[in-house]
Amino acid sequence: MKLMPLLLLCLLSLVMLLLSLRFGSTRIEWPIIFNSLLQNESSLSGKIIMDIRLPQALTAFCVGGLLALAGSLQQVLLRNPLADPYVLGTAGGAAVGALLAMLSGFAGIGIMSAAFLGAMLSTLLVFGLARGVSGSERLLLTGIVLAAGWGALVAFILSISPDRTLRGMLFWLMGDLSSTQGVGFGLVVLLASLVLCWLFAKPLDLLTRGETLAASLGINVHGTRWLLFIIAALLTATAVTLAGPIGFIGLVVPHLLRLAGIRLHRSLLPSVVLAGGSLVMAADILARSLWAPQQIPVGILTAFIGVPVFLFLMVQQINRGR
Amino acid sequence: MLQIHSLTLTRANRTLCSNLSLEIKSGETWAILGPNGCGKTTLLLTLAGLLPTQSGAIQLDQQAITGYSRKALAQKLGILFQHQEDAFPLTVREIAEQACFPHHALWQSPTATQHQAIEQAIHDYELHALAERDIRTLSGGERQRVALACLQVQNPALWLLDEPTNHLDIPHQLRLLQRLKVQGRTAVVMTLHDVNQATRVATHALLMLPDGKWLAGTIGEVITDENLQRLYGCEFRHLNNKEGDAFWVAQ
Repeated sequence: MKLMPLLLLCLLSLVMLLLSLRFGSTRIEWPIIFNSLLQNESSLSGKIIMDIRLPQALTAFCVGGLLALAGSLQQVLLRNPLADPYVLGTAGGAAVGALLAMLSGFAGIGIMSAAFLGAMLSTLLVFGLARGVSGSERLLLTGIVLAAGWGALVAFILSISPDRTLRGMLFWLMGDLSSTQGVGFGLVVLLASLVLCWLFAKPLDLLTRGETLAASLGINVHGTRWLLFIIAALLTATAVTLAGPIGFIGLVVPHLLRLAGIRLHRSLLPSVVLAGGSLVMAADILARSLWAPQQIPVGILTAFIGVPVFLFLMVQQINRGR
Repeated sequence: MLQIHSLTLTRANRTLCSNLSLEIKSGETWAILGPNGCGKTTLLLTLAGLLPTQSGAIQLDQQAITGYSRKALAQKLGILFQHQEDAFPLTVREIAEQACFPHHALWQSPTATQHQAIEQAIHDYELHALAERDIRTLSGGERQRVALACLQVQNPALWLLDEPTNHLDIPHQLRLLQRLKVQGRTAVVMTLHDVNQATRVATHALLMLPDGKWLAGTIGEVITDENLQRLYGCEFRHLNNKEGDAFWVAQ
């Protein structure tokens, strides 16, 4: 296992965390940041750091890690680097579940469970509809159409929602990291899933080469696939509950790391978590400071990065197929 | 080693072979011959436990293959597929390391002995120059050699090969057939299109005739002008060289 890239990514995450504490609507000086982290700083800046910026940075890291990990698992399931919880409609399903729960007055774990049900339903629909079809293009297309369907449902729910909840829902839908409740739970889900998937790193490597080949080398394909379905849905639902459907993280991050030469899942899985976390923290810093004091929803920024990467990957795939 | 009891294979309402019964012992090399679409690949996949059997039974070492876990099965039999497409980058060496998977726990890395086996396989199939290359950049023949090297690393007692000489250039075909001939205690079952390759390397042959009929036996018993004509529907004649070896030519 290559340790160097992992150490670098840890360092990158740390740097992004510190930058998240420094930048925002007001710039806070380094001595105050370190003071507040290491000892109680009762000034206003200290409060901003401990009560607002640190939880938001942790939420950003957590959401990025969850989505990047979910994306890498779905890419294995589909054997296609274009798979991502946003593209496949998993995040859309989770969003519809969560919105319905919000509308019915649920909170906390109720929203989370509804989001999980939505994500799982969406996964089962995509993989069930394209069952037995060779080639993952149809699967991907099914996912994209389903994502559009979820989008329409979201719009429908918004249109019948009372005005007072509308702005909150809208912001959440575009990726909103400012509500940091549940970040502890999110980090637990992230860590537990990472450890579990890491144990299955070798079956994941084999599954990327095809189900029949994996089976011929001793993988229980059926069981492993179900495990991956469920974990990917859980990761997506947790991320969506925390911050709304943020797109393309699961697509961009594994791709960049593979380009950097990290191919085996034993290294790839921890790397995508760290890199995904760093990427969303970076996007969050930009979202908070570009139009300060106005905040831009972070999902808009990730889409600006994600859409060109998706198109580039697709053209590359088409060219290779020729 | 492998016993097939009254196995019937059907695909899309067509009977590929009916009531197939034969026993494959260790040390034997079987060639499966037949025209396109006669069910050679289906039979191999069924023997590997990768396709369900509709009727009949397959036993490996006195135990039904359905009773094995995938992992236990992968320790005993290995299969070479006709097609393998890779969507993600992996180097040749990483792929060879994956072939050790059936032999240890989920998270373990290859042992020193297995690393030696990997180096040996890389050497045997002349993959040195390609070892660090991305599998997706290799040619068809190079990929075929990687797959064969993997099978050598996996080291099963029963090898199932779907057209092993596919894509290989003539020197590599010769070396492969030579290597398969001296396998010793392992058993090999392979589909082939070339009758002369079959007679050269195999001890036994299974001919998959039209309408689900079949013929099985030693090469001397089943490879005859009449049987080949029945099998392929075109006329065959055999020629003998100075040493008395027979070569078949289609007319």
